[in-house]
Amino acid sequence: MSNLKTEDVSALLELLKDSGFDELHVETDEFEIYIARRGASSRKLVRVASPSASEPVLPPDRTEVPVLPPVANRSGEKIDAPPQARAAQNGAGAQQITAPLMGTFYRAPSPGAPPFVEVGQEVTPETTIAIIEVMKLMNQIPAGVSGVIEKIFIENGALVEFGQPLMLVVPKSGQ
Amino acid sequence: MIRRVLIANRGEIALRIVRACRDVGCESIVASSVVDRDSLPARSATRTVVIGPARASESYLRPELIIHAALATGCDAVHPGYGFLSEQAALADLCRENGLIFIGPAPEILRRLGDKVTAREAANAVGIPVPPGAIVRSAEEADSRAAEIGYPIILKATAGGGGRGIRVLYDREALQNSFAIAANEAQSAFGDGRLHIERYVQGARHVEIQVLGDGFGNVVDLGERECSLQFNYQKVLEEAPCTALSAEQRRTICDAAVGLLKSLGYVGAATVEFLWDPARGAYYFLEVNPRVQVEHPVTEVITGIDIVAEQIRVASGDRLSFDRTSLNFCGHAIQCRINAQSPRHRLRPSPGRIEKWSIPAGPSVRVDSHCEPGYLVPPYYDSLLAKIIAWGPNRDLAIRRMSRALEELVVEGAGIDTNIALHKAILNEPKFRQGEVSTTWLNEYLESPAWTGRIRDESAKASSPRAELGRAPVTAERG
Repeated sequence: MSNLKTEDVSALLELLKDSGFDELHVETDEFEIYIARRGASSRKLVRVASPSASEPVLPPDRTEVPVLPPVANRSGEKIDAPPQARAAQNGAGAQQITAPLMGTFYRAPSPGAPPFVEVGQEVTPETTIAIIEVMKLMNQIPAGVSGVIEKIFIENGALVEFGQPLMLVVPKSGQ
Repeated sequence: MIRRVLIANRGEIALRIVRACRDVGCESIVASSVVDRDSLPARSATRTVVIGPARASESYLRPELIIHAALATGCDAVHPGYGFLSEQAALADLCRENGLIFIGPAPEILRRLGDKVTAREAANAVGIPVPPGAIVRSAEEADSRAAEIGYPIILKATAGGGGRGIRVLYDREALQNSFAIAANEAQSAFGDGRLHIERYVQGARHVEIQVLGDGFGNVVDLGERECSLQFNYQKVLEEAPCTALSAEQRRTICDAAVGLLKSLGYVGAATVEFLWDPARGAYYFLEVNPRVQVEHPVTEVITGIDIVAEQIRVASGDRLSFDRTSLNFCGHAIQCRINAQSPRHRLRPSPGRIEKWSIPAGPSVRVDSHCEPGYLVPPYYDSLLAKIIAWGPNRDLAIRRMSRALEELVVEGAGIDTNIALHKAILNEPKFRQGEVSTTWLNEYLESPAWTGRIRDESAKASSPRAELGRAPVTAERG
């Protein structure tokens, strides 16, 4: 959330409008924003501070989304724990593609077929990067952003959760 | 035995099920929405899977996401809790198709009990009195049926439940005014616009029987709970036993409930709800809730039976751990539902961030809650914050312990308000003390000077609506 965009502000306004709250206060290292309904301002702030807060301050689109805390599986058995991808937002302009729904992540249209994308490949917002399957329904996932695939966080066939980072995309050099 | 349970719910009941899983020795996976991912139940479970966004229609109400999450994490069973998909045959169907155990009754039974008409038929078939009534397809038909039955009547959505989609109508004009609105509401809220009309029993008490059944034909009642304290058909305070029943009357109603569920071959936990008419000494069938209920702890406290653990046990194919003869009923229990609601605004929801949170303890007090300091009560779901359950060897001591517990309870935060003050007021009301409140009492009480005066006094003491819960008042803004 380093650069606050107009869309971000509208998203915040939407969030407040649809909520039962009267005021919203977001504070990060880069900016601070305070929004109140007409006549509701008491300056007694509802703090929704820091990007690590667990509430969706912004709608979960292609912005940074907090990742689950480490999974403690008491049985010791592997149950497809999600990778820790939180620190992945490196470099200027890098963007994460996050899972728009929960399901099983597939990198290729069918078993044995070549993957939709590989690391180093250029994508446009329309490029299909993966399939997320929910109960036999295959959902094609578009990149949603332009750039070059820098990293793929999820293994083929793994369960991805809603909002979980799938891939990291960096702007094409020279752009 | 079930090894790993997917919990398709949130809040205090998700935590309650996590705890039961631990007690019976199985793992728990909480399927949560994105706002609940760091909640206490999510952190307490073996693992959490974020299945969707905050809005329940895109997460907690999506059977296919829940089944997918259960299969992908190697669960062998799904516990639906209460609300959300707990009474939806669609989830039970999908469980069956995918080889998962649904911790609840078979989908056929859910369908039968979920429809007011077929549920009444099932009750009628085993000789349980049902209030006179019928399905009405038009305002004209409603008019002639109501004339036969006699006013007041109660108009219900056939597919409604849990107190939603209900109207009490006292005369013909009210019925004519309400019919179209009620049908529209039923269609949009439950996807089924059919309406049902019944005689309304005035001065009635809400009495319900907790029942558990296993796959070996054992169906056992755990006695009754009284839940007459309701606001707009939503239960507020529950207790057991019911002060209005003689031992003989209790036996009759419990046997009726057991007879009904036996006739269905019921496996799991269920509550059969009745109206008890103290004036006539008569009882009428209301509905069956085929799931664990919010107020189940009241029964757990006076019987020592862990209802959620028994659900898991019988779903695993085991026998109930007890039978009727080994049950010991002991003393009296009361539950207060602590909701994020503003008493000053007709109990409208009042979510916000909890800053100070301190829960009662001490002898014979139990607290079931998913809240903690710093917790943001999300505006997307119901407003239940905590259930305080107090036990005593008799009703008087249970009430005194509940009063003590409510004094110890601290909930403070910006924007948040609770119904604690209402519970305190109820416990002091002579009518409640005497155990004589009917299902309409609380709605009337909230309009009475006893309550409105109390609220006015408290508002006057506080500097602003937000200041009541412990924030130091500086200046008085409103009187």
